[in-house]
Amino acid sequence: MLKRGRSESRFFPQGVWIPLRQDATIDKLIRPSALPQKVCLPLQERANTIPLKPLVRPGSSVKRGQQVAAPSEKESLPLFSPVWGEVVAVEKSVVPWSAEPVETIVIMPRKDELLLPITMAKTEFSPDELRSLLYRMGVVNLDLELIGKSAPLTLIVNGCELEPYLTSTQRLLEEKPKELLLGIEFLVQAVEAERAILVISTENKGILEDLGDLIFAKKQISLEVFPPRYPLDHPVLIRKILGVPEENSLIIDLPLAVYSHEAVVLRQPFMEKVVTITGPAIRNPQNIRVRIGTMLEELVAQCDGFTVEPGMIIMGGPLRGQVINSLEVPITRYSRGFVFLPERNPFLETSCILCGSCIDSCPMGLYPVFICEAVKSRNWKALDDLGAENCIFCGTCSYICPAHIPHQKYLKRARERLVK
Amino acid sequence: MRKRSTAFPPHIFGKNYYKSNWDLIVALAPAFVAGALSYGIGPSLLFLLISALGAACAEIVFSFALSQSFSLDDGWAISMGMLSALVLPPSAPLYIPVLVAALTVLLGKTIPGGLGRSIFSPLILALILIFFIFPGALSYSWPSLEETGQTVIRAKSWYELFLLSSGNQALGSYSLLAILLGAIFLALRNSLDSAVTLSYLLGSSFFLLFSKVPLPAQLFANDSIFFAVFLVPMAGTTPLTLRGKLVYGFLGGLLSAPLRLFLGPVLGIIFSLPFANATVPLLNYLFLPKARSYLLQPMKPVFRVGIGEAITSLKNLLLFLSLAKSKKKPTPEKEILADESGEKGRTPSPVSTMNFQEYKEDAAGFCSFCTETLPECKEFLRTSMSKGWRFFQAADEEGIQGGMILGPTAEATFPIEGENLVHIACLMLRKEKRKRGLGRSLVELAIKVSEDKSGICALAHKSLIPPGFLEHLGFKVVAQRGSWKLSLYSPKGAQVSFSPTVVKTRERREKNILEAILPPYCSYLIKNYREAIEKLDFPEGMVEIREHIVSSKEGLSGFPFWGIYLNGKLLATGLVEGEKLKAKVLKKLGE
Repeated sequence: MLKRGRSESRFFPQGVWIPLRQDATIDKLIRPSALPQKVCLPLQERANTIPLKPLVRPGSSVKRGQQVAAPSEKESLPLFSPVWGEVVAVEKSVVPWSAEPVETIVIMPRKDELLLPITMAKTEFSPDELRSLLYRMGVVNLDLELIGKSAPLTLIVNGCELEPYLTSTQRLLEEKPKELLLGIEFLVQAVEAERAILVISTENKGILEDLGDLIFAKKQISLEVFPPRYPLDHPVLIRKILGVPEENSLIIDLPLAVYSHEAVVLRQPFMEKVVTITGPAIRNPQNIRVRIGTMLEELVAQCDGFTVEPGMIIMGGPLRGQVINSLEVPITRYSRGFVFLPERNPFLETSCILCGSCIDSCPMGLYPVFICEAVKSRNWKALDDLGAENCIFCGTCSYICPAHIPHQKYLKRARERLVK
Repeated sequence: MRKRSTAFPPHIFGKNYYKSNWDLIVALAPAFVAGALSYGIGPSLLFLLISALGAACAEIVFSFALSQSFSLDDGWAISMGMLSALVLPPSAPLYIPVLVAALTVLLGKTIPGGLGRSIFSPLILALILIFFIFPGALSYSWPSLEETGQTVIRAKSWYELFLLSSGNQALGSYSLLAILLGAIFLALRNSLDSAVTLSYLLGSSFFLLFSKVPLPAQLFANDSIFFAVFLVPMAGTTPLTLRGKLVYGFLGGLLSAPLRLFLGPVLGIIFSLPFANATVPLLNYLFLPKARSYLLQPMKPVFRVGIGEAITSLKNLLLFLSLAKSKKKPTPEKEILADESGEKGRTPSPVSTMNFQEYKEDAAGFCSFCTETLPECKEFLRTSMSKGWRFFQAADEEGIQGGMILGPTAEATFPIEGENLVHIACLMLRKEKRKRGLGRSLVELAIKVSEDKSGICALAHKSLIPPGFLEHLGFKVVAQRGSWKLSLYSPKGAQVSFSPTVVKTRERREKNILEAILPPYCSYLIKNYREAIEKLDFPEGMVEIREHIVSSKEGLSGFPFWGIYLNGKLLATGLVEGEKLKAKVLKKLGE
């Protein structure tokens, strides 16, 4: 018994079919990672967030699952040590997402690992208790997410993975469907949602049938299958296609639902994450369940190194990710995958040939070419008329452009200008 | 130290324009091979090579001549060279394809300064030019429609229809099969604009209605398919959206029908394409998605702005023409001079019938001759009268025709420094009473009235006062800042200074930042405003700046005056020029 996606999602005219290139890792089981040699926990995990306060000093020993940093405000989440070991230093180190060096806790793991005893004192929770538990376990800050939302609330679990190469979400969906559905139930309970919609974009019929059977038993969860058309994984478009207004919907990424199950049932704080290390330049691409704080270098070594020297390392997917220049990057809460491409982008910007591809493909119905022209000619007045503030930075226009105009650059400039 | 990368996402790409040009070159190969096999390998190869070389050389030469950078690696010039060889009959003299190729490069890339900027398909334009320059070289060898139709009908089997057709025709259109092979290759490589191609063929088949030639002959005419695949969907000359492309192709095919009837199949297509190209802006206007986005507020259509601008510019043009006509009349200064000398037999000046009087009643009634007097305006007048400003009126039997306000220099739009001076704050005349010496009489009245003072100064915006008007009355331009002119009339030799625009560094440090940033006349406005606000004991509310007195429709020369309003009530008046400054002042007021 399978509820198919609505017709609207299948005939979404905008966007673009991008070859997903997931063959290298789509069928590989999630592999547990070895004990890292060094754990680096940056206290600022994303750009423009408030840094956390360290709770440990150099020299103090930490347990696995011990909280090592606390958020100074409720906006970010606590940080846990993923290993037994000793704090070596709390020092500034360079990370790609921040222009300034970020305070980082460096932990040297001990070889002998002990497991923390699992306590299952309570199994029934009230919504408030669940929310605070998920916050304390560092999975998701639902109180923050719920600001500005009103009943009847729909919980949307975003399991679309439409960036090429990345497969971590789909592997989780395939390997842990029961955990996922339990996690969704917990989340529904926590936010007191009326229903939950699981949105996926897979084409694997086996998964669909399994999920369909599992979901049939749960009345409040329904399944929507989107076509793998980029950028349908964007929250704005998901809301639009499902026809749910923003104030009545809450979008949570699929991995978080799985991790919240672990947090509630196993009382395991958020300290491990599934990450895809892939790309043509990697000898043995893998989906690895890594401890947060592991250096990228070690993960590459676990994937048997490079076939060729990578020309471009992308943190995140190739359509929205960021290029990094070094392997000394710690895995954080927000890492989804790393793509190693053998060559840098060889194309140069040429003049627009007025083909209209960007207008046909823009999912927000904008005119990217005219916005770029307006930015180039500093015609800031026109930006309002062109609706430049509605851009969702999916990168479809740049992807499709035959003249390789970096629309994203100009659109970002337009956004900066409009924010001013 | 690691640097942050500045590469913008995305990092992978879909299609490439260079790629599609090289694809075109490959797709042309089968058509060329078929042509070469039937016409003769040697001459056709020479024909093709010399054309491609001509195009490449043309690009290099033109780029050097205009000191542009040339880029042969995009494959455009070479593909155009090949195309121009293939659309021409191989029996043509060798200089013809070279000329066509060179002209194509010139019209398509060099003159517009890049690809995709030419309104008309450059190759088609080049062909038309060559057709008019060397009519004999082209027209004799192209078959008429009947001939093509006959070839198709006479074909005994499908094999014959598809493989090679005989006759003297364009090098590329010998074999239908070869052209279709190229089209399939392009389609597979995603380089073919199939919407345009298919709709063009559909449109051209409407020709059926006008001719005796049967449908297959038209649909499978080699030339028509060759053009539909390789030339009609040329990038940059087609509309931007899918619907636009469909309409464009259909329209192009339809337009080609009558021309094909009279000019023959190839020439018909060539001459009809520019017409289709010319419809592209209109199709773009019609078919660009208007606020397609569901999350957006309805968006203003981009091109409507263009139409509005066009109307404004048309208005401006008409205004300019009317001005040019009126310039033949004598200029105002000359009138004044003539009036003074009284030599020329002009109509008797109405000044004599005017009576001038000082106005001492309610200030609100001063501007009664102005039909658009604002309540704020009246309030302003009342406050200034209470400060001791003097009001004068000029009236005749028809009513009040003008007025003048004299005030102290310290209260001028810009603070003027000078001892014992009078300032002409305002001078206004009805439009139909201008250029008759009325203004002159008013200024003379001002001089007469203020004999006890050491002089009169006038600070005016250039646009509000005719050039040379004050100079003729004995005023001297003392200072000029931007578009503001300070004139002084002082037989007693009074000194006046007007230089607060440049604030000295030391003063600037001491002064409020606000006053340093804004021009002095704004700071004066703000000073007024602050005084008013202090009087009201700092009330709360919304502060805004509105135009205070506008140039009325009656034709009164107005002030570019602005008022600061609190909750819709006038607090202070002053001058603010331009929207930017207005925003700045508002921002500063907010602080």
